[in-house]
Amino acid sequence: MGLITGLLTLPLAPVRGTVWLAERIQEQAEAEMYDEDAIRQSLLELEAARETGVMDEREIAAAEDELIERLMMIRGVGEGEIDGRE
Amino acid sequence: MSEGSVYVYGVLKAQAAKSVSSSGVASAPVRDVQHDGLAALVSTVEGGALAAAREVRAHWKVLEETSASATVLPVRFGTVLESEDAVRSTLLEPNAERLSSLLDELDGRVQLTVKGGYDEELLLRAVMREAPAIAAMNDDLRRLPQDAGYYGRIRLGEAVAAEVDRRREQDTGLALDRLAPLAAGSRSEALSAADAAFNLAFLVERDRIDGFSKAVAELAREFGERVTIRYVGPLPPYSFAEMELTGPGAKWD
Amino acid sequence: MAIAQATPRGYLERPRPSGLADVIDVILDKGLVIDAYIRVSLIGIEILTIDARIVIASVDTYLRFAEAVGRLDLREDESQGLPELMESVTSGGSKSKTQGALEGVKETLFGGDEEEEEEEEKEKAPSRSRSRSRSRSSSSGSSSSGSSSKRSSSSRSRSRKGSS
Repeated sequence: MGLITGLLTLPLAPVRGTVWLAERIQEQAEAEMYDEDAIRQSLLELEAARETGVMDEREIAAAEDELIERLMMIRGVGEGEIDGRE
Repeated sequence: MSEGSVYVYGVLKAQAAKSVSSSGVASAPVRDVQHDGLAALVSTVEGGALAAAREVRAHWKVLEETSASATVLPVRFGTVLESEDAVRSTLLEPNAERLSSLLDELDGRVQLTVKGGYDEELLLRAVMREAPAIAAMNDDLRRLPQDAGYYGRIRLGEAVAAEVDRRREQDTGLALDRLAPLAAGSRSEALSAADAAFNLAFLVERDRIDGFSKAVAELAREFGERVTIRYVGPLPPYSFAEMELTGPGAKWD
Repeated sequence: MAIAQATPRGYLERPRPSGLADVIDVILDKGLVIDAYIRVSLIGIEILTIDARIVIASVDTYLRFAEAVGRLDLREDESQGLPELMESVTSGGSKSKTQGALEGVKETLFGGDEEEEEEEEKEKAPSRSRSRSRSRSSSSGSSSSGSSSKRSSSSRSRSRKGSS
């Protein structure tokens, strides 16, 4: 049916849009645009999982963190050391 | 005056500034630095490494909490100034007028985002149905062996892409027709997914949200299965607050 | 397939509160930009000016559309439905290699030994992202390509600490 059903019935159940994207990702090495789409899609799925209570909040948050950091790496927004200014 | 670098979250009218309960970046408490009727929300950052995702969440929580009751101009993630003094003298003071008038314009309004996503299969079937030339190209290609017809596939894909773009324009126009009249402002943002139809930001009066929401529900019914609508908000006015702030003595290009 | 069908009818009658998925883009890309001249980037964050993320009409996109259209016919001919497509994605060894984010999600959610698999996943990720951020830096004209690899590796250890 939609996001939620998909998530419940298969261990890794991307919705059709994600399958489409996943297949393109494997063919084109690291087209940034598509990596980002997959990340966004996964974030949406995690949100759906949170609403259905299918997964532990800690697991969801950990997965989200990793995706956010990937997005940040792609964008070049990242964290670094803070130098003290003396 | 306090030493120490400060992370900046956003700017609001000083009179609207309240204490913030959410802890901010690096788990530091959030305070405000005031000047000239404006307040910048800040927290101290010490030396050391920061965990990226956690700080994104903290940044967002601070903005979410303050925007619930006040209009806040969000600052881009990751902005650090060298001191509270710098916040006053290089951020607030030189830009006071622009910031104030923007805040006045946005007062009492929130951003609501309406995104549309295509059902891929329905979309492509519609394209094939309504553009027989494309269906014909596809038929020709199917007769070729799998590894031949590379350029043919590109031409086919190009034709499909052009059709999809045309539909995007149409559907974006429809959504704007239905919703823009109920908003104080609207922006069409760039699409961020391959199967996206539109990505629209609306500036809506706080007390007009219900009416706007009804129109969004009506729009969803109008689109039917073709387009899935994702309706999000209220948000700080990200799409209506794009400004590049410079310090004193900086030259304008 | 619309989400609206899967949830109670009233779902669109008020805007949904913004989950991270909805706001991550605006948080990272939008908002007031404070000129680098007055901003001390102690955090070492490179704020790239992200131009409009327009879906790029390129050869890649065209190929994708062509394949998707081709697959439509396949479905009609052979009644190959979504489940089969998904199977081929989830079970194929070589195919699963570059799924990136999805694999990461799967591993984090269902992996037996979470630590180990996170480790694996992060091993894969930085080498990709290092080259990616390097090419980003050069195209935007910034000069910190040297530091970008440092950034990725330090973020790796940092996020392990930070994500619990």
